[in-house]
Amino acid sequence: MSFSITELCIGCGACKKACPVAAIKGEIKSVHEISRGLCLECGACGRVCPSGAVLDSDGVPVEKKKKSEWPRPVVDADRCFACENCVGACPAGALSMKSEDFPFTENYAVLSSPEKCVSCAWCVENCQFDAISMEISYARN
Amino acid sequence: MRVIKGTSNRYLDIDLSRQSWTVFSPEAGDLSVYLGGKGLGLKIFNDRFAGRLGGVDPLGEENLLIFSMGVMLTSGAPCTGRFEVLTRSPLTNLMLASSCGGYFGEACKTAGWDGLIISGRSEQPVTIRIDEDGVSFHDARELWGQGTHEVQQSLALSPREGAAVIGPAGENLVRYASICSGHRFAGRGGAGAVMGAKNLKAVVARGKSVRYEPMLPEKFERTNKKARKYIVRNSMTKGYRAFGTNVNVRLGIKAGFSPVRNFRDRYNPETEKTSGEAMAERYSTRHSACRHCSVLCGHKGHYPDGKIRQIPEYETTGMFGSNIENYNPDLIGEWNELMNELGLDTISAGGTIAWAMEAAEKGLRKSELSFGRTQNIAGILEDIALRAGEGDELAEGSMRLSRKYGGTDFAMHVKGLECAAYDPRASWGHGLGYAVYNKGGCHLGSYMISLEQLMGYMPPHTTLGKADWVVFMEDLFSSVNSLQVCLFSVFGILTEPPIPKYLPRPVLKVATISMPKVAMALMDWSILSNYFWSVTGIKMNKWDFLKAGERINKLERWMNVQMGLKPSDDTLPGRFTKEKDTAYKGKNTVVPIEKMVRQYYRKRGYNSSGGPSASDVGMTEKLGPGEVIVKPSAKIIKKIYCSVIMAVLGWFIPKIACRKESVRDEVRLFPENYTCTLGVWPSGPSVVFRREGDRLKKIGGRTTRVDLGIYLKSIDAAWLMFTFQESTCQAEANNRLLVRGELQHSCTFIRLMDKVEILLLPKFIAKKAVKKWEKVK
Ligand code: SF4
Ligand code: SF4
Ligand code: SF4
Repeated sequence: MSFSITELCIGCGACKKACPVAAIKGEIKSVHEISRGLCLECGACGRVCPSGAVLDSDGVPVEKKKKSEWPRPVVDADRCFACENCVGACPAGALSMKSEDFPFTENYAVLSSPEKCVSCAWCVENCQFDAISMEISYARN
Repeated sequence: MRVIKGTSNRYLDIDLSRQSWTVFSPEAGDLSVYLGGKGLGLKIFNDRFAGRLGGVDPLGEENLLIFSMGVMLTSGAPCTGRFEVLTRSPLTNLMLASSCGGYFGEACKTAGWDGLIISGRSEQPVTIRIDEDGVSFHDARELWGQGTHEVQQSLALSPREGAAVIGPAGENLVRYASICSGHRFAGRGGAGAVMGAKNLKAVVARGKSVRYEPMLPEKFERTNKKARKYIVRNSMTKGYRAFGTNVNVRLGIKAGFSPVRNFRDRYNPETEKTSGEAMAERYSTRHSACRHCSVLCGHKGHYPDGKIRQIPEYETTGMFGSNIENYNPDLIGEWNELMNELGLDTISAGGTIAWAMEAAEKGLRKSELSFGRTQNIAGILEDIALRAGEGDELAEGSMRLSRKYGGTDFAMHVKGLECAAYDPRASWGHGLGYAVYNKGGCHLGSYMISLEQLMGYMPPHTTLGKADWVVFMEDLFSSVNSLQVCLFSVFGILTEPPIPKYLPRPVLKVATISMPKVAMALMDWSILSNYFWSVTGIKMNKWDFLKAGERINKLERWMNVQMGLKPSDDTLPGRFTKEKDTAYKGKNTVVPIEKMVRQYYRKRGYNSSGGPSASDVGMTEKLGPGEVIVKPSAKIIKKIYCSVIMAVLGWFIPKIACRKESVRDEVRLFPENYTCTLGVWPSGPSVVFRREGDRLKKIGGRTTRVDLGIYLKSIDAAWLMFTFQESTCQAEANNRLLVRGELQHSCTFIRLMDKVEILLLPKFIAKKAVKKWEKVK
């Protein structure tokens, strides 16, 4: 299953820009389409769509949300074992390790490019040490 | 997202010759018997070739390449990112089951498939892509020749996709070519060559279409929590986390299990340069593990040339370090990277090269290879993968080479598979493990050195108790590889419970060898069985789990015997059993392998064929032309007698007994068309009935499937019952009956049989045969 776009689409292209894996195709001012094979079901497209045209995989319209209200991962540096699995799993390339100069016993993962993050929570799923939580009030600075 | 509870039990059955596919579902009961992963894969392989396993050419069209996922994958439990690859090995000619990390498994499973069964051979190089809808075939001519990472780049995998690929070594049918997924490998035994022989360059799975939920979520969570706690704090996993498997190097120097100069010396102080500790410092390593791993044994590091490379595993370090007299870890890292790119198994490549070095030294075979000479190794590795020059011969492995040129005593393989980098003269149980493991000289069949040396749970230089432990560890590991939890996590699970953890070492050391069964019982692997239980909903305790492992192991052994394994193959290379004196200053020994193998055979109940009897693994004996099975003659009389009784019952019940109203009352309790059988297990005389209206009707002699089966466990049990020395209830009480089906219907059947006996027999005999004689109306 995947997300889909209904006739409500006004063809503004906002979703296309938001999608981390270029799963959306469509010309400006025409109804856009999501490629089922590529979609990660992150919902970023729906959250930016101004006309509520995006349905999730259960057919429920996705609510629009300001970027600052998107849940984002917060890594608990003390629990992090620096396994780098979240970095590898992130489809948007939003995570990296704190510093290559640290020995791994002191290193930890950080959300280095928060603007890229699409709130898919794959990182959470891939952390064996429960070091990541999704939080809305992610400090932007 | 679609949610599947437990597991899908669906395999994609792909025929490359016809470029077609279907969906295959193993029989419902098979999961509880073979657990999935390795076990179920073996069962599928065996069923496909029933009776003609010996004729399967490993590199032929017919051989199957099975990817089997196991119930734990994607469950989120620690150390469950792994899947199993099964095929007939071109290196050993026996069954091969190889475990691999990498994202392919997760992608395949979350596409909704428990695995792939790939048969046939494509005319042209081909890539298969699978998703939740099925399979498509794509031209791979352009990808042919690319390295394992290169091709994964070329495939432009999306974040939802994972691939299993081969490198040039697989394409050129090197007998020890590997399959690669991500940066993890199904290394041993040549699965890559099988893939190459099928002209299959890559399998790409697109996942994340399906989510799995355990059947018993609360139980699963409880188990999970405990497992995580154990694994994270275990001392062995801590060592692996800090320094990778190379933490074993220092121990090897001390205990004398380092492989030095093709396993001649056991010791060289320079080996320290390649220790995990030294490398961690030199390369300022970081983690690079399988997904969902909490052991974190995999590392990468910064090499002096500025590149980030995967740090080689202990085995690679040993085989390309001390074993060929190279003490420069930078080179090992480079070669490791090269071999990974080419898709070569590093252990077999190293073992073969070391043999060639020694053979050249002894003048048996000309070679440009010699101990301590490192300049030409990279070139040779490329030549092996491309089968160019000398590499063409080296691609055959040390067993075939030594048969051709001589030098079998120092060809360090078992059954054709080169031994991993642990010298068993420092760890006898480990030697037994090499000798009897179905796969050949792999260290992970029972990994006894972990108990004998790495954790120091038992004295290494005694034969006492070793066979028991090898059997135990093999069974456990077979089950673990069928669940697919990483073997390394199992140590945390086994040794963390309080008793083994806090028992004083000397006491433990005595207990493990003198009372192995007791010591095993003190360990606790119920986490593993609880995993299976909670995910699938199929009830299982820790002993059932071990039993399943035994079944899987014996099935594999049975298949191997069909494929030509001989008891004489269960041994070690001559060097380990004959050459006592080495450079090692500690205890120098040889491995008393024959004695231990004899003990092992006894524990396993293997016969002169080198494997279990057919009935032990639930198979029917395959007979050649003119062969018959001879059974003791007394049984023949019993058998004839029981056959007559069955025939009489087959006539009497429908024709006479079913005229009586009270008998009909019983019959009506069965559902319409219900089938039941009374017989002697497993293949003795039997009779089958089906309910039709309010009567039972006799149908055929034997059918494959019945709703209810009541079996007497042996012909002797049947004799006791049918000569009325024992009533049905008594037979039941003495545990002589085997019932397959619902309890309520089996009770009905037994009541019915009582009535039949009362009707059939004279009163004074019937009184003996039934519990209470009552007139039947
Ligand atoms: S749900 Fe995410 S991945 Fe799917 S189309 Fe929308 S933005 Fe792209
Ligand atoms: S939620 Fe995590 S995995 Fe997903 S895009 Fe953000 S950082 Fe990457
Ligand atoms: S997956 Fe978890 S432990 Fe590993 S680096 Fe990311 S946050 Fe740290």
